[in-house]
Amino acid sequence: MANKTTLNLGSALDIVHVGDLKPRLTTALEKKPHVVLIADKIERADTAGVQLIYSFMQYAKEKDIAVTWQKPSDKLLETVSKLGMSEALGFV
Amino acid sequence: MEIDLSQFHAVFFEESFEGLDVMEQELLNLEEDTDLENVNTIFRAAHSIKGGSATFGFNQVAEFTHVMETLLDEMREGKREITREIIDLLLKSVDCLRGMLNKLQDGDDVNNDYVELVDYFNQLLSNESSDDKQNTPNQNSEEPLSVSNKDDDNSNGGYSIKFVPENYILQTGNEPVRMFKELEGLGTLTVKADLTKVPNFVELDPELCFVSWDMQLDSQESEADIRAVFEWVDDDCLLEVKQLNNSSSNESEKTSDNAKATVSEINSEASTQTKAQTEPLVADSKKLVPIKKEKEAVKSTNKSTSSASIRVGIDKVDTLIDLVGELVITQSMLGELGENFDVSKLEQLVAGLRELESNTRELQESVMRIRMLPIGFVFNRMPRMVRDLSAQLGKNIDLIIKGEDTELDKTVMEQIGDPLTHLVRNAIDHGIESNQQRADNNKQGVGKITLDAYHQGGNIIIEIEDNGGGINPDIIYAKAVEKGLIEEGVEIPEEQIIGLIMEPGFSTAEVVSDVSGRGVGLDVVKRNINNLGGSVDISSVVGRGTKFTIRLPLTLAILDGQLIRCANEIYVIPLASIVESIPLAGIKLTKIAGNMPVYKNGNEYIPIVDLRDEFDIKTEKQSTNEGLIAIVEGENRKIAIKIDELLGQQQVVIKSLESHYKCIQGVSGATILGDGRVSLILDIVGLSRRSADRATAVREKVA
Amino acid sequence: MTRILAVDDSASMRQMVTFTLKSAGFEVVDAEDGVKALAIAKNSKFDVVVTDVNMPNMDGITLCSELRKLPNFKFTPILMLTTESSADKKQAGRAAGATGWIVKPFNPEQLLATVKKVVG
Repeated sequence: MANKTTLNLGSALDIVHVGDLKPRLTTALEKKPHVVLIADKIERADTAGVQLIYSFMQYAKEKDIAVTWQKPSDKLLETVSKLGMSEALGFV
Repeated sequence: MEIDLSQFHAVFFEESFEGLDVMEQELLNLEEDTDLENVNTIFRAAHSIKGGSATFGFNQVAEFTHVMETLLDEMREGKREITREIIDLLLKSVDCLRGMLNKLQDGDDVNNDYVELVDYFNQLLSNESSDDKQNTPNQNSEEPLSVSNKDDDNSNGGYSIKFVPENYILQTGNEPVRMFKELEGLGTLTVKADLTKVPNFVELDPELCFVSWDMQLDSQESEADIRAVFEWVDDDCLLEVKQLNNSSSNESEKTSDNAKATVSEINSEASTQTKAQTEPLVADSKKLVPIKKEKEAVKSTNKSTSSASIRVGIDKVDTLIDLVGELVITQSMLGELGENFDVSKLEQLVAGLRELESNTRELQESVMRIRMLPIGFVFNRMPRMVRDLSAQLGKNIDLIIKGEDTELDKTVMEQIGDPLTHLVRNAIDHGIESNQQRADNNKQGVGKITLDAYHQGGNIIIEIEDNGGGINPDIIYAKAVEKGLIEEGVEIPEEQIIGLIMEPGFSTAEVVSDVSGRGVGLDVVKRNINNLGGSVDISSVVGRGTKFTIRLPLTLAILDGQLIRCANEIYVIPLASIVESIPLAGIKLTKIAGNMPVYKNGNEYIPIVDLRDEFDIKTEKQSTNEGLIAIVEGENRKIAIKIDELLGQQQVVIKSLESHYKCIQGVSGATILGDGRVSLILDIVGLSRRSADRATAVREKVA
Repeated sequence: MTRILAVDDSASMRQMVTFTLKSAGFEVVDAEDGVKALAIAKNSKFDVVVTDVNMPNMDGITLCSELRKLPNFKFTPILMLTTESSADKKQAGRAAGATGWIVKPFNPEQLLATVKKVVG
């Protein structure tokens, strides 16, 4: 487990929080080759939040860093599905 | 969830009447000075009434205010010149609206008077804004949806939707997830995100949206319904809605769909009708609703009798809360003191009690202040009246209003409105001379009426002053002699002579004019003011003008009283009514017809009222030399009340006798004294009438 | 709980809006013009703002653009209560950052339906 970085997304993956989340994601990339996104607490999610994660995952892929989800909440899954981005975020 | 809108009606009426007052006032200001802010204020008032009346189902009011608003909007935008005719029209509309709202408030039907005004507005609007109309297609193109929808209404259930939002869309609070959810409500939705435009993570501004979407919607709804989901972002996105139907079935679909459209039209009509039933003013549904209407009328009359409300400034309430806070502190301090009291703490106790007294007094004053409103509420009616009347009489009159922030009790204010209006009318009609007369007398400047109000002690003083012809005491004297009010040759001070014009049946105007009304004269004004515990004085200089000075108590809830004792009973006499008191020992009482005891003061006979007889107080007969008489005056009639002792003077809180017991002539109310005893407050006018009746009865018996 | 700031200079409309939203379980704070609303907004967070357009002291459009300057209101849905006739007001509202509008006259059900759209 030592080569993993975990990043807890907290309760809101939305436009209010994307500004703070982006530097945290950047930091996570700098450390370990495997990033785990903890998403069990997410109660709010929106386009901006999901878009940021998508962009992050694309960027990680370029750098050969694996990104995996840990317990994505129902709310997150629902939002991503409504946005037609389930595949893009690796939920399908 | 069913929400009963009628609960908001009372507030709606209240604020609408206030709005109309504001409109009237600003319209009058507009005549002096066409300030754009005035027009804005008028517009806002009309707009609010329109919004409220439409929401609460008063459709005629909404219809009327709508055309007013349109005109006001043109004025506001500078597209329409502000003329006297327009101000006249708007003032008339304010009157009309006031009438409509009054009727609606009472649960009555609105008559169709307003229709004429609406027509007039429409005429005015269509005349000049015809070149405007040519501009309007731009605005109309806002709604191309409904048009295009007609053509495409032949949906067979499939749409493809392309939605490319501008990247700032999220910052307007518009969330695509919300729109997609709504679309799901219309049918089965498949969403595919186009992510090609999402920038590299490092460059991504996470608050902008770079995703766009392609969707398929299986739905029976019309294209317009689908577009409506995106209504708020119309200008902030690229939106394509295409139908996926195959053209072969197009024809048959069309017909069936037309049928459907008719059905849905009928449905929507039906639904407006059901709505109309709860809103009895929709013209179309008149036949349907008479029963309901009656019910509503009953309901609203009930309401209007029970709940008069008052709007209180927050600062006043805050003061009260502060005071109650202080009171609680004092109370707990005293409570603690009482827990383990000993004599050494006496000084603290006295201080505490003093504190309590001051808290209580301040609290009382502040509570009274809640009922206090600025007299501006009454003064503000005047400019309109002066404007209309002076125009009618062809006089140039300026109205000057001062002291409009002076506050007085709401109840007093409600009752002073009419007398004050009468006095101002009187000043316009009889006070200010005609332009011709003024010119003949070489008087400079225009006629001027000044209204002023200020506090003096526990009273409010209201002055109505004009710079007109004044009152000639000689004419009054002659008239008074002619009417038998005074004897020829008796010398009376000038101000008393002038005061005679407020006596019943006294009218000096040569012609009874339309303006001051017939029959209702200054005597009624005086009586109304007296009934409020106030008085009115007149001073006048011939050729220079007349001034009426009204003095009123600030409140009807508290009275400055003189406590008196009669046998074992304590009564309160309103201090303001007491003229003088004289020890019985030093005067001579005489008796006139019917064995009525009177006190002769100069050439005036003042009947003596003995409370023992009036109120049937059972005691031993007092000797005639003990005690004293208090001469009191009410409605210009004096009586002398026989009493045993004058006690202290104090403010008393008036409790209604009528609501707790019943109405008794000669008693205006009751109060509770410091020791807990109930004391009756004497009503001087009632008492003098009562004694006069008794005297007549006695006289008739003798005769 | 979802918090809503309701702004209208008309007491009856304000009461109607507040009462309706409270009945639906929202927490509502009301204000009678833009100035007062802005003062409240500066010290508080809301999930939705519902505001009238024509108001004295500060109108709804100005309020909207002022709110957008506050960090707490950068993305908050702001709904304008507007009359059908004022198409240009809708434009102005949008330009000022309003989310959407509710067309007057509206009934309590319409108000709730619209507000529920944006509280997600």
